[in-house]
Amino acid sequence: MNISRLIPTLFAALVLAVTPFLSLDAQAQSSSGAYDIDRSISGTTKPYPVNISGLSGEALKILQFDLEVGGCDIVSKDNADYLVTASNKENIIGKLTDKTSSIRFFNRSYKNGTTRTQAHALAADIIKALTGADSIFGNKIAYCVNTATDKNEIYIADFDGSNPHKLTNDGSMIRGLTWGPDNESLFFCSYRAGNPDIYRQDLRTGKRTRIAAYLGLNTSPSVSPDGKKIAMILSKNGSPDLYVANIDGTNLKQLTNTKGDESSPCWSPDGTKICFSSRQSGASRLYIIPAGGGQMKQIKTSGVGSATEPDWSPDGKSIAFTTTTRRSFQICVVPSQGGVVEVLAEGASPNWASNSRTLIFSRKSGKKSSLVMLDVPTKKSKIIGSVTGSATQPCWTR
Amino acid sequence: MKNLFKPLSVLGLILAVSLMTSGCKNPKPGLTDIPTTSPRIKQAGPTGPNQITNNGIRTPGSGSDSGIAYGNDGGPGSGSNIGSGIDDLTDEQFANMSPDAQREYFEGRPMDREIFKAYTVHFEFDSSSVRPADMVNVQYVADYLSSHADCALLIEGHCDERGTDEYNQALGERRAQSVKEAIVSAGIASHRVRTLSYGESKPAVDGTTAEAYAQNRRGEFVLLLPKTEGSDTTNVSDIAGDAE
Repeated sequence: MNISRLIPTLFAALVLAVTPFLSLDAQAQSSSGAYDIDRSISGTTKPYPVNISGLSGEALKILQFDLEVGGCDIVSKDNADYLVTASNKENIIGKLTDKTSSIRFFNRSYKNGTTRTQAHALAADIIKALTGADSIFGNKIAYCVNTATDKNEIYIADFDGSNPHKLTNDGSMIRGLTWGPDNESLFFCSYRAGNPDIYRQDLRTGKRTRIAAYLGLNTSPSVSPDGKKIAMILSKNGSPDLYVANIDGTNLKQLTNTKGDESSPCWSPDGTKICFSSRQSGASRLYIIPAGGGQMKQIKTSGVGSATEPDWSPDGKSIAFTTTTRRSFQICVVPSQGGVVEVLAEGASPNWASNSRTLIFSRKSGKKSSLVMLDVPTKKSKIIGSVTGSATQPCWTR
Repeated sequence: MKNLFKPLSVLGLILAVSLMTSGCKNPKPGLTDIPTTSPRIKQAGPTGPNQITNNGIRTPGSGSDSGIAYGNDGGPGSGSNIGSGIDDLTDEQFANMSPDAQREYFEGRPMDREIFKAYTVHFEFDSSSVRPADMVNVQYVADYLSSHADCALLIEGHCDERGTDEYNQALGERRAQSVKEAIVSAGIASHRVRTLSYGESKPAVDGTTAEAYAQNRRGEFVLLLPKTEGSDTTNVSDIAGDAE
């Protein structure tokens, strides 16, 4: 076991050792103390070898899936560093211990909710104790399912693809799907009116509002962290450029005016900057521009040829993007100030989870596209098998 | 990569030239006339009349998902004279129109997807520049438009599948805009030309060969005929939220 892992482990153990036997509501957030660990994206972090005993059926399946998404390897007791001892006779009870030191992280029982939500809550506590990362197991994902090469529909599901709900029935094409403020709406580009236009769809009322429908391209909406502004790509003045407007599309301001085309804007978590891809130099590169307007500045993505579809991590530290090689797409991360790129896995359209640790993206194999989750520090990835059909453009609630 | 496409562009040139000399004996304005009173023209072109309406663009009578279509509502101040086929607008006047009125200028016009079928232009990998060899196609379309003042033009930009979705959407639009710039340089008023990007979603051919990709990186010309009486009555701002 390396030192860097041992320190947070011991610290966590200290914090948790003084916590008595807890009884938690499955819906309640974990009350564990906050302890930061080194989350630098080196890709060298090994998955946490965890053994699970005492669980069966749905509870076991969910716990295994969640822990793998969170950066654990599920292994035999002999190969484990950490032991999860649990039972699910009525409610789920779970205990996490460090095998070598026998230090107990926690011992909790979970009540209310369903087996599902209880298993997710146990998984969240284990991941929090081992990695310090906040739970993403209560988050939802929105994504598109293709019905033809030029037709798809929006779905919303739990983070693991379960409980899918079909949102649209347009028989048209959706691009640039993203969540609106407070996760109460979705923004996207739809060809439904015969032109790529940007809409907002309210998830409570089902009402759809047109945000941008100029002649030409209206796409790639991205909502600012405070929910008040929207960045988007419009071609109303010729070549596709970056614009910012109020969240309802009014008060439009053009931020770029290049001969090349811009695409896929995303906001820095403090809302002051926008990162996007541009072909200004001939090839696609990442640029950052002040959200209020100003000079666009290229950020270095050393080691890869092209860079598109940037997504800024919620902690501000890194930007995920897609690079295109001759035959495939690769998910990459680069420090948000630019630098050396780390290529993570095959796929496109990356989107950070709220924990700034897990990415979701799509991966094409033949004609079919699947959704994949990747724990960036350990590079462990997991295909969401429960999503049927060819799925693209996944994005997390924030 | 570049070398790979050299023979292709040469091939394209030969193809273009042979098309000009065989398929269309004389690409001068006005010689390939079509009856402008007919709302839709089916021409058995070299590739067959297979793409007249089924492209996601609404044509009169083709829509079933009503409530979200755009078109001339014929109401006061909506520019209902625009649909009469007389275009005495200047680019400046057009630029001062509301976005909805600008859309109305194009929407509801019957489309002819066949007439310029042989004049599709193609692009190098990851490029949005119109190839010199394709300028003859651009000139043909521009000539046609200058002799048919009541028609407008739709340029559709397409990509091969080797780019990400949103990137291809922007690239396809940039391609269509490049073609539009060439058409405008050839003397056509900018406001008569509409662009639409489909990214990689509507490949011309299936396949993952260099040849297939080369055919899919393209700009297609669609002739927009004058609006006919009552061709579309849906209000442009009437967006129904009838999703599930």
